[in-house]
Amino acid sequence: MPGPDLLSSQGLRLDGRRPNELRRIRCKLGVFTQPDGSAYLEQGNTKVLAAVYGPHQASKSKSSAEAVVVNCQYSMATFSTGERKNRPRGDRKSQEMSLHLRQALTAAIKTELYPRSQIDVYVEVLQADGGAYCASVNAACLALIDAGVPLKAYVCACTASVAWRDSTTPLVDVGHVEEAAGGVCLTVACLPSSGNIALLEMSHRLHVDYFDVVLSRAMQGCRDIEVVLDRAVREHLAEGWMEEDITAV
Amino acid sequence: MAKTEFGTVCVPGTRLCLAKEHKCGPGTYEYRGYVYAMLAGVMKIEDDEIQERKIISIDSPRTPGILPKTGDIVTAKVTVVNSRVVQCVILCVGPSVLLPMMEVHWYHLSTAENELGVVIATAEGAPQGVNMVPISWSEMQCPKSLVKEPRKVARVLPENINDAMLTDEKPELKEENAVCNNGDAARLSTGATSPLFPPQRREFLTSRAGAFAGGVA
Repeated sequence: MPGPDLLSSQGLRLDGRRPNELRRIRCKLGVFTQPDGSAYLEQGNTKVLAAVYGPHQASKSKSSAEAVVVNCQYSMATFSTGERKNRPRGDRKSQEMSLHLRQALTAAIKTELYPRSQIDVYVEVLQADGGAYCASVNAACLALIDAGVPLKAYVCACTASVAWRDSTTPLVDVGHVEEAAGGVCLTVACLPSSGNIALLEMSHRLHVDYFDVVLSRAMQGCRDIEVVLDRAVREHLAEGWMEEDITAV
Repeated sequence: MAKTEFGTVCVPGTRLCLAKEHKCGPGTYEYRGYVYAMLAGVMKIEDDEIQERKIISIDSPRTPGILPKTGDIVTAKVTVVNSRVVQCVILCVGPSVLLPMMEVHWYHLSTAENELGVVIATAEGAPQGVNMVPISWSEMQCPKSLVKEPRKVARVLPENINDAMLTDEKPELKEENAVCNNGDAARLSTGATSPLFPPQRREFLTSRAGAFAGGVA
């Protein structure tokens, strides 16, 4: 079978994980005081910071009469990749990532509540070890919740790939080594509670017969990530809220 | 007094109840017959005075204590005057003093009623703390410099002025309370200047809040 060897004979991936194992996710909300909302998220070795400035008046050129304009900026620190990056932002890849980020977040935000306003989302990738876009979407979702921006539901993103050993085994949460090895990588950004897909992107080629398997694996990965994000949000609410704040109303 | 119940902690996307059970309040939205949460916070159910149904809403750490609604009488301080717009900062909503908010919400305000308009104003170039006296519905005069300036004066019913408020104790807070308690505009003289307010034209307007708009017209 053509394709890289993403699964060893023992059934372990290149970084030692099982095929259906997500990388460890650690996240924290409210890491900065200046922006309205902020979050820090680690997915394995990928580290991402997100900052959100809540709805404020939009500049004339950007404002839309029906809905809020979500302004995203995706930026990679110069020290984030193996080779030092020359342009942290403004290059073609960052612009494309910013547009994808905007697409995913606009699907989750209740945009009709703030006409003629804009929401700014700034994402900084501190360390990129594969799945930087997914980590950005997850971090931006937490930052939006921290900022108090109304969301329809959580928005999560996850990648999936496929390995050809014995049988077609889908792999969830693709790391940098697996991406570099040349395996196909399907990125899904969705609202896991409703199952609506906000963004779907794939690199390389995949036969249509295996597409469903890989897609459902990625969707399951999104649902698992939602559980982790949900726990972090509830912990943040619990520690930030005293009983007297509730009874004082 | 509306009865309020506090419920469970909710996150965005939590299904709260059927749409026909309760009405959607702030922080919730309706989709396909169910009410879902939009914010992360605590669910709150309170009685609606007008209709019989209860309103379900989400109280998040980010929601301001009081938010002006359409039709509210607010007390605002004018900050910018242009030929097209006059920008103000809302200080009180009805009888309650608003806490300073980090987020900015934009509202259209109107002074198109007799009871609404300028309450306290100082003449240009006059020393701080000397408030002008209204001489007609559209003019005010400074007692020190005798300069007349055009203002849309708010109509204050004398019995509404709370005499207990006309003391020199904590002048800035008292002035706000008196204005708000009336619901109408009230004229007060303050003994000292408040360090909180910038030394601009200290004009207080009572006006009615309009519909929420994303920008200033």
